[in-house]
Amino acid sequence: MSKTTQITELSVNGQSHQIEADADTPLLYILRNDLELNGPKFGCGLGECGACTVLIDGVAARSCVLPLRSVAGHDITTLEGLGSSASPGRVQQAFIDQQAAQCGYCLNGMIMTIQALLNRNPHPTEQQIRQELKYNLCRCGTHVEIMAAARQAAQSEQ
Amino acid sequence: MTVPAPSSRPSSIETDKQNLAPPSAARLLHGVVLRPDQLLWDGRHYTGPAPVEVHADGARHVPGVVAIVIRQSFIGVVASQPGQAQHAKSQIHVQWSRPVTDTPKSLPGAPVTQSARSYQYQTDTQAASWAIALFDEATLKVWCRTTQPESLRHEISALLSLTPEQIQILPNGQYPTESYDAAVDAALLCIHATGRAVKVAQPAHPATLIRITVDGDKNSLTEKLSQYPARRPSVAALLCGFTHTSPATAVQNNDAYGTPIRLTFENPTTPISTYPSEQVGAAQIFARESFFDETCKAQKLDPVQARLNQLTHDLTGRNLIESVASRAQWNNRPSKAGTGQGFAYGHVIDNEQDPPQQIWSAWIAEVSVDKEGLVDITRLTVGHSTEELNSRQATPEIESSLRQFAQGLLKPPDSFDQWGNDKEKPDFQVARPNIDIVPQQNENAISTHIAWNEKARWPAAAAIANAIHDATGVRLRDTPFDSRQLQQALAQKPTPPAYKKWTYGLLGGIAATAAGLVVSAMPWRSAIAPVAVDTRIYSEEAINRGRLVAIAGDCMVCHTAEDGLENTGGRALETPFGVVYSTNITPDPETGIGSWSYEAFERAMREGIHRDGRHLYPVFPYTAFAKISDTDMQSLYAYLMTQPAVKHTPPKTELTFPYNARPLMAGWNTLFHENARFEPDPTKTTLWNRGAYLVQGAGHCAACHTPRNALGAEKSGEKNYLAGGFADGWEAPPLNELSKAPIAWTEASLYDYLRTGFSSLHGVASGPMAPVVEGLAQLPESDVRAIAHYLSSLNPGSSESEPAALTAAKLEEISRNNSAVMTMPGESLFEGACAVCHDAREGPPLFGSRPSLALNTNLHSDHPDNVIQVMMHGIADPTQLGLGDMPGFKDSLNNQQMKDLLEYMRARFAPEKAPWQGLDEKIETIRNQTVR
Repeated sequence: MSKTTQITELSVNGQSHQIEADADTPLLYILRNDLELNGPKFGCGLGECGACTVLIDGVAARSCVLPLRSVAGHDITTLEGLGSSASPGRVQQAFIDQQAAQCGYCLNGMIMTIQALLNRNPHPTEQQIRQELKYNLCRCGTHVEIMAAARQAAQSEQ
Repeated sequence: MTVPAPSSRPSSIETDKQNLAPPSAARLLHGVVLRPDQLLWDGRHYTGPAPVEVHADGARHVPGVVAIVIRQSFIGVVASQPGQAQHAKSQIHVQWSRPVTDTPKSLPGAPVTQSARSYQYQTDTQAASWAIALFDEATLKVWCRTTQPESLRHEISALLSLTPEQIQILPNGQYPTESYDAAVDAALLCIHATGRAVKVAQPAHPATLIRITVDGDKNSLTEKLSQYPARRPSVAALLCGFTHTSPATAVQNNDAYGTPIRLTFENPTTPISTYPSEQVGAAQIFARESFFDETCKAQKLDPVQARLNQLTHDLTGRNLIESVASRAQWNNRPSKAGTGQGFAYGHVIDNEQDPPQQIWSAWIAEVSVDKEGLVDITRLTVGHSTEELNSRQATPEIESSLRQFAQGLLKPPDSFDQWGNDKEKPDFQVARPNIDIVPQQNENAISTHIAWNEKARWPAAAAIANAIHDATGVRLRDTPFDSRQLQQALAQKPTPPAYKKWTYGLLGGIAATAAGLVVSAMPWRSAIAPVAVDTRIYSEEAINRGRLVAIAGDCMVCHTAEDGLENTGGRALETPFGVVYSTNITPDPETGIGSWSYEAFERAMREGIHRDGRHLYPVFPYTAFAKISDTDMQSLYAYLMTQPAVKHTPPKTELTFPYNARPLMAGWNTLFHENARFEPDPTKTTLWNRGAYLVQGAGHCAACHTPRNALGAEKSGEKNYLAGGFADGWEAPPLNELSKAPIAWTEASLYDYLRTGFSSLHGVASGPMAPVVEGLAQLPESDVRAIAHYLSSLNPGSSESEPAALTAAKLEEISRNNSAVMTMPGESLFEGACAVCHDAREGPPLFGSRPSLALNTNLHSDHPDNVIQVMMHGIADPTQLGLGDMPGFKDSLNNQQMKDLLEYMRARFAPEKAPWQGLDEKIETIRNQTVR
């Protein structure tokens, strides 16, 4: 089957975009290269590490393995959609307060995954947070701070 | 709660143009409803199964799900995409109460006395339709198509406690399919997604049968119905516990029989009919008018005269019958063998109009019946009178709609050789009947607009049945009138002995087969001269039919190279004998098949001979294509020849000796190829034969799914048929009883898989099957259903009655708690690479599906090939469900890691199966495979 570029309408952070690309292009490439949203990171490219996590219809998704064609018509939220450096979102603020970063490469995934959990369950237990973050990898070892940030985000009321 | 009777207040008129259009597709949510398996009512309430327990937690976790709505027996799901909604629906487990059967089941339609007669009337099929509803706190907008907007408005307002003024009913532009039911479904769902429009698609509904038993004596007539004659509220309203009070469309032939008619019902609860339910009225007229004709014939009365004698008070009816009888020359009709005339009359009060309207109609049908039982309607005289003068239609339009309606009541012999809704019936031609419309008094001009009500069509069936009886003495009591049934009835009547055509035909068949063998054994075949093909002669229908044949045959899958233009060839096909490149089959005269005559094309398709006389390799499945019928073969030629011609020379196939000696193929053909068209099995249904034809012929399923012998031919014998094979380095699993699937494939799951590329109980289509599913998606639904029906008959499945959902849950549970595997080296690899998407044990819900490995057919197979293929190369999602792609791990896992993972997954997800052997070589081979 021959591959062709086509125009796809994509809704990202509440804004609509016309994307001209091959329908098989991973969503992550579109977000970073076309829309210049560099919150989501390229880690393993295989959906394993979670650095590329975004929200689709409020649910966590690994954008490096999702082709463009499967996300048209959905609401996509990236880290930029949660808040800005001037006014960070609730989860982002918690990560700042707890100084949860060392290299910081995994933090996009950690923040987005916690956000997805809070969308589903506003008051998660410690065990539920651990479960949720189980497949987000951090190689620096700031797990203690990340857990503290997650707890803070879960406790702070909107 | 009751539905208030609709008021006659006019609808509020929408002025804002923008609000009239339904919301754009990108912003829609999608709703699906979960219906009980039996929809029953007693004329007022829903009486079918009710949910005792609903487990919807699984569905709530499906990504994209916005709401799960449960209200009494109404259950629905709203999600971002149709596939997600469907997937969520399949995750809702409902335990239904059995409906109370308070009376012992009487034998349906068993005649009470000898004089009783049962009639069956087949309702129209209903096309698929849809409705959209949007609630924004203040107003509820519903886009749908209905003839009853006021009833709909009142029903929704009562259901949702809104005032009727808050509800706007807007047209969806789908004429004439009713989407009343979908509209109420959408309304009930959309209030759980405020501000977002919800679309509900209503599937097409097949024709159903209404049975009516009529019995009577001098004093009264009794009619026993299998369905309530009332116009019903929506299915959703009934499921929500509404009581129905609206009046029915009354069939008022009472005075025409001189006795009152008493209505009874076969069961106190009857199936809820498809909308519009008024078809019960048509069934009643068919039964009454046929019964009346039978009574008249028994008493040697003229049915028209008998009717006029009864209708002493109804002048409109009398006048109408008299003018129709005189126009049709009822009293001086010729009595020619094989022709007959029949009369039927209807008088209906349409309560749906406000105020109710009366409709009278009288029909005289004239038919001729040939010896084979084929009925030809030669003339229809239709008289019609209505109080309603508003809806006027042009006479030619009415004539053509009547012609179509009347011909729709005839059922020609079924054939396996019909595509989907293809109306083309090659061996059955009905001449256009003459139609006379007798206008009402003071309407005298033909070819102008006359007042018309569709219910005037209702006596058509009885008039035709009575005419067939007049012509042949055979009484048909079931619509549509089946020519095969008529033929059998005619054959039972004493006739001169039939000509021994059958024996002759058989001998001819044997001779033809023998000749075919001789010809294909010749090692060198002559070339067929190139010709200039005139493609202008091909009709639109033939080209379109050919397109379907091409899709079913997957021509473009093999004849299109990766990144190449369609049908220009060059795709490399790996066979055990070497790589074969597909050829250019566009109509380019030099590099394609542009100069191939039909003769040359057909020879290639059926015998595997190139136009120039060369033998083709059987990787081109002419062994299957030989079964294609002549009409389909000609249509396919018409289609291919009318496609754009592309000049392109694909790489040449060069096999090593001895396989490069093409004349040797002649011997192969003698041994393994039988050039014979598909012969339907007369003991099986048309659906089965249709499926068999598609599977064995154009679909060439056996090419991959049947094991091959050392010479590359499909192994013969019933046991080997579709017993599983290999293609392009993938295993094509067995489709017969050798299937290794942990949950037996059923007709329904096969249909899901073939239609969407995904079955939640088995897995996703990948590898060479992916383009097959893409092709099938373009075939008519009925054809995919036929394939599923036929294939499921090859695999009778387990006789255990355990529901599939329960087996699935058990298998999942076992795989979750299998502690023996946790010390295997594959565990940590699985945790790192696979578990985030595939582990049912823990982890966050992710967008897309979470394909169950415990149910996956490939992990339960005897061969690890497909699992290795998927792990190496991933899956480019072929489904329409947007379930997400899987990445390939070829470059990130080495052979040892692959092996550890395979051993782990086999032990964990298919614990009852023996470990796979020879993994090292398999992994190495698939990794080094160049052709994909």
